[in-house]
This record gives sequence, structure tokens and C-alpha cells, in this order.
Amino acid sequence: MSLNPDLKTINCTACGAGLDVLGGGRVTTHICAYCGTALDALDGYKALVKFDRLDRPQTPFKIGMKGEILGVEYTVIGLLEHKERHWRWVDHQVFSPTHGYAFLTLEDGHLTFSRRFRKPVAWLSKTIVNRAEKRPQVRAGREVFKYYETSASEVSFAEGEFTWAPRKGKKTHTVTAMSEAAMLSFSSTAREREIYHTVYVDQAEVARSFGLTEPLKAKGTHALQVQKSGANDGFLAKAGLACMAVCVVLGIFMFLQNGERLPTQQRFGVSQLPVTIPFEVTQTGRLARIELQGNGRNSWSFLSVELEDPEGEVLFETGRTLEYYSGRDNEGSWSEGNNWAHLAFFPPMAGKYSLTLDMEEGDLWSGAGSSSPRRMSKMDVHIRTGVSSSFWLNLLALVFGCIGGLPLLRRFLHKRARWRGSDWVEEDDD
Amino acid sequence: MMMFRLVFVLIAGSAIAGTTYFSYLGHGGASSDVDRSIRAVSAGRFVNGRIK
Repeated sequence: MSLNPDLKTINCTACGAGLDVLGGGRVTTHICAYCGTALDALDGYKALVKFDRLDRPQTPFKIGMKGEILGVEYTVIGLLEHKERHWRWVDHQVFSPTHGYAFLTLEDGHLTFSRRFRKPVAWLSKTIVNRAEKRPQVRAGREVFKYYETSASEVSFAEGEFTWAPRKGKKTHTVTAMSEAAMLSFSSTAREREIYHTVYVDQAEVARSFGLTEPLKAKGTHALQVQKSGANDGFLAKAGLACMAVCVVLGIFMFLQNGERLPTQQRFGVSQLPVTIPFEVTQTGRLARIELQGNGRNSWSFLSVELEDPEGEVLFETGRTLEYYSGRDNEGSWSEGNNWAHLAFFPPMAGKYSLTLDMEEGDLWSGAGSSSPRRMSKMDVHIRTGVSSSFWLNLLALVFGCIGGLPLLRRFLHKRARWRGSDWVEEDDD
Repeated sequence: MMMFRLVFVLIAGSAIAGTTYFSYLGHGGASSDVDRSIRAVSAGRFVNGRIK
């Protein structure tokens, strides 16, 4: 009957209610919104089966609403609710006189748009997926679709006009594969199979176009949802990581700048301690470093360090421990600790400084499997001025790393959220 | 958009140049225990049982 272009309304042959005829010439079934009877549009709207009216799905889209989807005006002509275990979603059959039939799907507040896919593409079946060792994928033109999930859904509610005959409880097996921006659904029933191409649509734009007064409340991240990224995200990622690389290179360079070694006496026997080492500092505002090196083994030595400035005032009084342990156990040779230590300071003025070193305490250690212990007998002392430090450059590299890494992290998390619903498990993940 | 990028490059360049100069002088490398005259005595690791 819907082949008749003049037909705009009909009366339900079961309950007599007036029903608008909105779909085009390929409508085969019209389900009465009042009594739920499926009418055969190709045979005088004879009653076929009856759908339950009580389980009406929640959707703001009503039959007869018009609006633009991806720049084309469509009319909602039918509503279908699918369910799979506890998941439910609503397919709105939409029709455009120029672009034909499609589905506007509402799932967890997300809107997607699906149309029949008629380009050449290999079929992806449940059997192929079950036999695959790696995640299956199909290519459609230049777009690669990777396997996402296999589902078996059934229609739980239907109302309006359809190009096929919905049956309550009839199972549809669907294998889906996803690319970066779209999804292909390979659906099959006992008698037919078809491929749908689905994309995510701008919810606010579609809702506004269809005249919805309340915005759709989307939950979570939809598999097809495009990440909302700022205009400068790409720039920040590249610039941040480039600046981080520059800081790391400069930091390494500064780390290697050990300044000038002063011509002081370098080696002392422990028996000579305490010793006072005078040294001349000519440049202030640059870091100076005192380096201590011992020769003990499986022993520790605590050295007191006192520094006097050119005016004879004690600049600081501190200490350093030189300790080195080694041995062998069932895991092999081991060693820990260091026979060297250092301290660094900023000389407040130029002039002659005095460094005093003394041995405060020390002892030997002999544990199981340890090498024979040896007390420190001599030590080397080096004093350097004009030493650089990489500390703040390393910190700045970390800051730039965060700036550059944040957009990449967001991209990674979004991608992970998109694929979270996939039922494919890599063998390594078992 | 270009303004943001220009400002970012200028600030980043200044930060790197300034930090490089401070690093050259050695800032950030001074020992933390030389600005106070407290002698922290260590008895070595083995007293605390921390040797393998």
C-alpha cells in the first residue's frame, strides 16, 4: 500500500487507530503505535503479529519527527528496541526521500548513524573470529576495520514502519569491526545477512535539528566517539616533547661540566688525619665541590668535614661516610655502598678557604660470604670550582614532559576506553 | 591559535635559557647539609642490618 504515493494515513486494521504513512515505497511492515499489531504493508495492511505495548523504550525521538543528520533531512518512521542480556539500545528507523533508509541509534545517551554498506568488503563471520589467532580485520577501500565484538541481540519492542518484518525475540547475530572513525556490523539471521556502516554523530547538533528540548546525557565513552581535543593539543605534544629533549641534552652537558680541579694535595694516609687543606677560590657565585675517595672494603669510615671561610669563620661542619661492601652468595657476586662521597657548596666570597678532615669513627664488617674486610688506609681529596648542575634542567625536562605527554596520555586513554567493550582477548593477555 | 603558540615558544625558550644559565652556575647542586652546622653521624649500613 505504501507504494501508493498519495497514501498519507491509514487506519489500523486491528484497532482502527489512524496511523501516518511516512516511509517510502520499500516499507513492508507497519506496526501500530496504539495496539502493537504488525500490519503487512504489501498486502492491504493485514494483521501479522502483535507486539507488547507495555515495554516502551525511553527515547526523546518520536515517530514523525524530522531533522538533519550529516546534512540530510530524515524523518523518524519507526522505533526498535534491541536487547542483549542487560544491554538495551533503541534504533530509530529514519527515511529520506533522497537518501533512503537508515538507523539513528540511541545507546547510553550516545547517538550513532547507520546505513547499509554496499561497497565491496570481505564478510566477517563468527566462525572466522573463533578460528582467528590474531584479531581479525577487514579492509574497505583504504579503511581497515579491526574486529570488535560478537553479539546476539533480539528485538524487544517495535513500532512504526520498517523495510523488513521485525519479530519479537528473533535473534540477530552481529559481528562488528571498528576503524578509527566507523564501525562495520556484519549481521545475519537464519535467512539473510547484511552489512551496516555506523558513525558517531554530533549529538547536540542532531538533537537541536530534531527539536529536542532536553540535551542527551551520554554515559561513558562510546566506541565510536571522537576524542574532544583542543586546537593546540598536537602542537603542545610536539613542542613539549621537543623542549624536553633539549632540556635532557643540556642537562647531560651540564652534568659533565666538572669545572676546574684546584692544585691541592690529593692523597693522605688515614694515619695523617686530621688534615687541613688550604685552597684558593677566585670566583664566587659558582658551585664548588669537595670529592672524597677511600680504599676500604667491607668497612665503613665516617669523616668529619669542616670548612672555614677566608675570614676564619666556620662556614659549615658536617660529615660523610665512605662504605663499601662486597661478597658472594648463591646468586653470584654482589657489592653495595660507595667508597666515594662528595659535598658541594657556594663559596660566599673569594679568598683562601681551609678544609679540615678527620676520621671520627669506622669499623669492619664480616658477614656470610663477604670478602675479607679491609680498613680504609688512604684517601684522595679533590676540590673543584666552577662546577655545573643538571638538577633544574632535569626538573624542567619533567615539566615539559608532562606538557607534551598529557595530550598523548589523553589520546591513549581515549583509545583504551573505545576498545574497552571489545570481547577480543589476545593470547598473551590470558 | 598562533598567538598561543608564539607565547608558548617564547616562554619555553626563556625558561630553557634561564634554567641553563642557573645550571651552568651550579644552582640545584649544592649539598643540603652545608647550610647548617649539624653533624649527622652515620654508623654505616651494617649497624642497621641493611647490608645484603
